[in-house]
Amino acid sequence: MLVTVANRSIGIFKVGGEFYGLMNKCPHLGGELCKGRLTGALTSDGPGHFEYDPETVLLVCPWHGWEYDVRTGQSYLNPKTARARSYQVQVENGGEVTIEIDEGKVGVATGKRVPVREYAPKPAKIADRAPGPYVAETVSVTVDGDYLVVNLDPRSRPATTEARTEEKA
Amino acid sequence: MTTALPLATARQDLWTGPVIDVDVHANVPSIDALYPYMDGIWVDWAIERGYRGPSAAATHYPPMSPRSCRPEWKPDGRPPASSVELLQQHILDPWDVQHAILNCYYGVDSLRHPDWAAALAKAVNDWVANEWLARDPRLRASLIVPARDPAAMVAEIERIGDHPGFVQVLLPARNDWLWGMRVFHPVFKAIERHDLVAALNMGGTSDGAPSSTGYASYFIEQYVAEWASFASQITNIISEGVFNVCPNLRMSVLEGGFTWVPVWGWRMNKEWRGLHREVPWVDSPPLDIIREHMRFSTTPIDAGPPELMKKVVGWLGSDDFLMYSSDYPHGYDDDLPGLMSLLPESARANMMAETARQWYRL
Repeated sequence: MLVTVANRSIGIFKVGGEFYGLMNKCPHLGGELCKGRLTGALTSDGPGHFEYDPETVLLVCPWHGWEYDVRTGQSYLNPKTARARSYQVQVENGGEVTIEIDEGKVGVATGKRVPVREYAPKPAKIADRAPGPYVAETVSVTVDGDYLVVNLDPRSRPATTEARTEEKA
Repeated sequence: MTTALPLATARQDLWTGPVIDVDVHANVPSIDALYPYMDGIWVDWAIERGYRGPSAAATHYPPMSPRSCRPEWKPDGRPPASSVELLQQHILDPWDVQHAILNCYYGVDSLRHPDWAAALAKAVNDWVANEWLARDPRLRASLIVPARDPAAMVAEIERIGDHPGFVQVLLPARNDWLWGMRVFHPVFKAIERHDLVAALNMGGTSDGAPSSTGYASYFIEQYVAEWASFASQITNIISEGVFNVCPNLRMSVLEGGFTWVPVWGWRMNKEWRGLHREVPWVDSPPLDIIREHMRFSTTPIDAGPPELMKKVVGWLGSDDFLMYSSDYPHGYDDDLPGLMSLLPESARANMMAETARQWYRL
């Protein structure tokens, strides 16, 4: 269910009897995340093998397919196998990033490569998938009689950029 | 940067360390040379029909084209690269090669007769073992397989795959079906089981048009666009989960070029993030899978201006990616010294010998 509260578009989802709220904006590039489809987690241990887990409900952004756990807003990457790599995320100015792109260093692992003989695939569950770099903004939703209460009180949810700016000021 | 033919560059001027050449070719001089390695019925079959050999090889390497043989490597009255003595004289001795991987692309893939194709592949492999491998200890070789019949491919790998001289199985870049499809998974399992390398190599016969949209008119089109066949195969092999089925499989890409790989990989990685639910077994970014499971021969280098080429080489993202090949006797006019000058020292030794030494367990 998509609602507008205080000029903010918010998606409300019911998962396992609980209600969860997400801001309708994908942290990747700003797509309308909550218009994406809901799906179960999908893992595989080989071609043609699909392990579908309807208990873990993922919201798929309609723009680029980033998947978010509706309950936490956490995005997920590839399964955490022996080959999975962690990415260092830090804020740099645009000029430095441009140099990295020119030198082809973006996304290049600096750690030791795994020789082909040492690698063995492991069956992966959603719990084994690496958290992605994005976290969708969650909103507290509670049930009060016949009403769903969307709580935008800054004290009950992560501060927005504007709020943080104001605090600094 | 000047174009440097191997013979115009003194070996010691280019590289003083060891050299392993991962792609030298053997040409069957004529089908008569294979008769000693065939059952009588197939000798009769060839003679009765006046059969002179599969047509595919000449399609990919027109005999008189300068791309098919450098002028200085053309012997009198014989096909190029048709004896071990020619290879020794042109490459192994002057280049002081520690090991060379011999690839005999005979074009068996163009045959429709299933039994004849299997018999011919067997004859070529036995000819390579007896006329080449047995006569120069520096040589290792690829075995060829009848590409239209997966069961017969497996049978040939089982028959001769444990011969110590054979280190690889040639899979032509063009085929009726893409190589990653499940019908071929038993072939990759057999390759892995015998600790061989699978090699995509230039050549092959597709059932329809070799491009994705139709037939080319000219040789230059087919020749320049060949990389697209390699890219289609690699896209398919990763998407179909060949490396999930065969986690220890090593794959070489021979004569397919490499400058296109990073840019293709960026696209593939990006789309994989959004579309991976369709192929959930692809559990790593495709470019990472390539860096782990694939190595590329240096030919053709396809170099642009050095300052731009240096970026492309950096984009490969690994010092353990390229393997030197002369591609004897083909004439690519590759600027090997130019490529060498763009690499860090560690990557030079890897490219000239060490990556191949580890890859082929030499």
